[in-house]
Amino acid sequence: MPSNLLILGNSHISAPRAALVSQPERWPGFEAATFGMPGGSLRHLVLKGKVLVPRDAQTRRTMKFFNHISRLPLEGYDGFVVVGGLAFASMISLVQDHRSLDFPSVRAGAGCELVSTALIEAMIRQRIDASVAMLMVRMLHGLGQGPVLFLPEPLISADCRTDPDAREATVSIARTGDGAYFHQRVMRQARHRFGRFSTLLEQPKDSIVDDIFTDGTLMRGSIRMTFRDEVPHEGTDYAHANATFGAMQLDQIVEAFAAL
Amino acid sequence: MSHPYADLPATAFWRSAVAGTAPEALEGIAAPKFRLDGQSAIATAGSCFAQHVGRALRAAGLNVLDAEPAPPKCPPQVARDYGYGIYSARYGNIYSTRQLLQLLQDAMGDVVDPAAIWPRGRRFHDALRPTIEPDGFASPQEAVALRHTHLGKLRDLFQRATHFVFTLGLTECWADRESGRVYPTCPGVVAGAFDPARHVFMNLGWPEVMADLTAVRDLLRGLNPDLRMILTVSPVPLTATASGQHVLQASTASKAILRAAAGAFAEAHEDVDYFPSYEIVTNPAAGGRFFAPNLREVTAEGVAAAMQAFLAAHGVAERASSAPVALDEDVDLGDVICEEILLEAFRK
Repeated sequence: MPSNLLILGNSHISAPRAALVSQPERWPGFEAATFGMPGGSLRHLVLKGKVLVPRDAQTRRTMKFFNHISRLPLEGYDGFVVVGGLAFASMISLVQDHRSLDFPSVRAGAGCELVSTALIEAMIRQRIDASVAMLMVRMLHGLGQGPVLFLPEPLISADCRTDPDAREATVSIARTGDGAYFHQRVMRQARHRFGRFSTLLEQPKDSIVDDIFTDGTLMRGSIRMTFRDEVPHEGTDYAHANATFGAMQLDQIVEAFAAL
Repeated sequence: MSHPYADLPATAFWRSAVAGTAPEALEGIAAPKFRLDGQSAIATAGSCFAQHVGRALRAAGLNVLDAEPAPPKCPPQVARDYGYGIYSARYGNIYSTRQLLQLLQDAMGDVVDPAAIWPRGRRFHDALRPTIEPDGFASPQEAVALRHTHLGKLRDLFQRATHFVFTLGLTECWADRESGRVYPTCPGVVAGAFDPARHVFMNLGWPEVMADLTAVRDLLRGLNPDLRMILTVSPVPLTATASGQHVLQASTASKAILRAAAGAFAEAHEDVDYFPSYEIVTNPAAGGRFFAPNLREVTAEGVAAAMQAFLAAHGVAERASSAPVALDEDVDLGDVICEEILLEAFRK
């Protein structure tokens, strides 16, 4: 177990952070610093020596707002965890209308804009490599200071299925079986691509519903990534997990470090 | 004393029109029979140089059709690597008139020739567009299914198009001896295996090119009677010849046949026009600067000279922009996809 651990990521860092605050006794001896910024802003951080600094004034303001610091020295940390930033949900748009022969719906005879399996793989690969998660993971791996774990953001909440205005793309692709299949393809590539620089910890199976959603009880009551008060997400936020899910993630983290 | 040359315009005289004129600003080099405008729905195809044509038309704001677009959120480089957005459909380079004719025949009849699916290792290439899938298809079934899809898009494309710009590239090609089907690359270069008993070298002559163009026009007019064609000849020389001749001689012969056929075909049909890309780029007044140091690839300046003249002739350059023709910002000239160059790369 690293003695000086940094957990950083986008808005999905709130779940493990909330868990760590609410029940620290669950992980005796486990301590970690946390750092979170919106994914778009994380892209605008650059490494100067061993210090992560904002590239521009706007990013500096964002960094300060969410973390109360304007530079993040990384020297001294001997382990890192990156949370979120894969953006699987946004990848679904790649196969909204275009699918390859191996998709379950296509095998079953449904119509689509047919493309090759290789094109789908290439699009996934490019999205993974361009993700903010990969940016962070590669940067931290490059420091050579210690192991890097990566936890993708959770699948969206199963609750969205009862909200006709939400996540129509995911709900619709899930119905055909294509969603789960596509998720497996993405994760297969993610394991390969992230595996070169980190240990990828996949979402716990017992938190997943119908292969493509997260159990709603692990998502309701999620909080925003603010440094101050606990501000809950609105009820129609189906993307972020709550502290219970965050605790599951911390269990994974502790277990993974113990196994390294 | 009076004679027929006395009252000819300056464009009729080599000294004034060529020797004394900047090669990037030739005047009167083209007088279109019909003009492209904002209402035109343009399909493009042809050899590697045709990629420049499509880009220039798009950059000028013209409506270049894309019957087979990439998925909406597909990253641009991935789309390009997989042959999307290069031409009006995903047919890759069409080097010869015979290849174009056979493609259209296949499209009309939705014909997929299983013999034109070539293996490479454990992957499979569509021999008629071998580089649109960089790593090949996962299975022959996938290659066949996507070819059917492609052919369907082609029928739609030519029904929608008002103009078809085709760049003639080569007369040399390789064919299946039995079926007569020609391939854009020699078997064995990208995929498949060369079999001297099965594959035969062809070098199309003027009558064959004319016959192909006639058949192409007939097919297209059968689909879309109002479709107009604009022919141009690629100035890019042959990478290699299998004719037994010196490549310079072979290249010159090939281009001469294509140029003569395109011109004659355009003269014979009101709905067919010819644009002199070949002449503009090979103009001796350019002193070779329209060619890259390998004397084969056309420089950005050469492309701009040809396309500026094209757009100006159609009254498009003035309407879209007074600036020189811009190439896609994301694509430089080195990005032109050209299977033919593989012949050089794989040379022993």
